Order: sequence, then structure tokens, then C-alpha cells
Amino acid sequence: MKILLGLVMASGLLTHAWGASDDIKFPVSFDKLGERATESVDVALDASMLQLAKSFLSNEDQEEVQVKKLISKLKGVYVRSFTFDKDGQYSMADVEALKSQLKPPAWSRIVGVTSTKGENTGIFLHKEGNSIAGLVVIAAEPRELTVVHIDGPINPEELSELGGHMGIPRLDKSISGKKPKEEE
Amino acid sequence: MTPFEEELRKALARCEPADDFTERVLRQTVNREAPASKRWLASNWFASHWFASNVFWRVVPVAALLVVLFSAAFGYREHVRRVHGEAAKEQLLMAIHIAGVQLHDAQMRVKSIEKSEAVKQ
Repeated sequence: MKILLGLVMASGLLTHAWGASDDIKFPVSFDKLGERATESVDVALDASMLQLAKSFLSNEDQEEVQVKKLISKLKGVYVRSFTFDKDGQYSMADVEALKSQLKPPAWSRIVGVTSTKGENTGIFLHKEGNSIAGLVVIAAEPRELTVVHIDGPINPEELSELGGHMGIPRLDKSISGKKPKEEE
Repeated sequence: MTPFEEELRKALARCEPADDFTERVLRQTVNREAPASKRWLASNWFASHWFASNVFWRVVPVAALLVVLFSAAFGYREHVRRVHGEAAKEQLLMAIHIAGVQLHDAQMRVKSIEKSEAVKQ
């Protein structure tokens, strides 16, 4: 009985520690990566925080108006990014723990780039019917690991419109519809 | 007894008022109009008793203190909300920036692969 209780409590703690998003849980190991990283970014904005942030966005600044439009229906925005000063500070198991949650039929990989240089990039879409209900970008480089999870209906064209602003390079409007590419 | 003492004795001697003295005083009191605030107090039983009571003068400072405390609490809450809101906005803009940059990088990698494949063919 005590063991069962312990397991239930441990699973509760684990679920809590794996992040705030309903669908995608950041592995616990990501917290330890932050200690080894020279730079780390941890953004966790749920629906209420997004609404709060939205109320502080300007109605006059064109960029902020676009961001407002982009996030209007979102349920959450989560970013974890780590920069290391040397290679091998994270294992691919950390990345795989995340990727294992992005399985069909709910999720589909639209872009997958794996290079011999150790660069591994994937863009995953969560589709509900014809609309996109979520987007995950995983960019794993030898000295950098970035995961972006945009939870909720998102229009890639609206995101691409931000290209050329806010320090974002210009984006093609054809994010979706590409078949995964593999480079060996 | 000196003349001065005689005058003083007369001046301080008990003297009864005229018969109509009370009537005249009361008539003067009625004829003199009271100020507006006193008239209002006189017409309002609750107000006249309330302002006159000691409770009023105890309640006023407490009420004033409560108003100040509530104002301060509201102001602090607004300040905290503003700080959190500005932080959330900064985080959001940073997240959008990172997402945009990562999508751009992914596109660039796909394009470079497409180019190299085209060259091979």
C-alpha cells in the first residue's frame, strides 16, 4: 500500500515537474541542462499569461499589433533554449523524450533535417482537421538546444508576416506541406 | 461709607427683571434665523444625533484609514499586475523572436538541401 501511495505521489510530482503545457511535457532533465548552459531561456506563458501579455501590447506599434493577432487564439507559448560552451552537454535522449510525445496521428513532422555535423531540426504540427492546433520546433545543435512549443490554433502565414520585424529574418509563407528532408 | 462705596452698593444690589423680560427674550430667539447648516441639522434627527455623538468622531479616522489602506492595496495590486504584464510581454516577444528565427533556420536548411539535390541531379 505504501509503495502504491509512493508511486502515485511520485507520478504526481513528475507530471508537475514536466512543465505546464497540457500536451507536451518538457523532460525533467531540461532543468539540469539549465545549470550546465552558459545561456538559457525559459518561457512558459499559459492562456492567462498570454491574455495578460496581450493587454500590454500596443495598438499602435505595427509589430505588436501583428503579435496580438497571432496570439489571439493561442493556449500557450513555451520556449526552452540552452547555449553551451562545449559540445556534448546534452544527450539525444533528452531530445528523444520530447520527440516521443510528438507521434502520429495527433502530430506530424513536416520538416526534419539531420546533418552529419550533429544538427538536428524538426518542425512538428498538431492538426485538427484542416487547421493547425499546435506547432513544435526542435533545433538541436552541438552547442545549442532550442524547443519552441506554440499551443493552440496558429496561422503560419501570420507568423511568417513577422519576418523582417523583431529581429526575425524574412520567412517563406510555405511552412506547411513540405515533406521531411533528410541530409546524411 | 464713601460716595464710591455707596455707588458700588447700589450697582450690585439685587434687581428683579421687568415682567415682560422672558417674553421679549423668547421673541428675539424665534425671530433670529438659524444658519442653513444648523437648520439642516435641526430638521434631520439622524444627522444631528450622529454628528453630535462620540461614535462619529471615532468612526471618521477609522474610515479614513480604511480608504487609505484600500487605495494603497489597489495601487500595489495594479503595480504588481503591470510588472507581471510587462514581463509577460517581454517573454512573449522573445518567444516569438526565437520561434521565428528557428523556423527561418529550418527553412534555410531545407532550401540548402534542395539546392544541393538539384545540383546533384
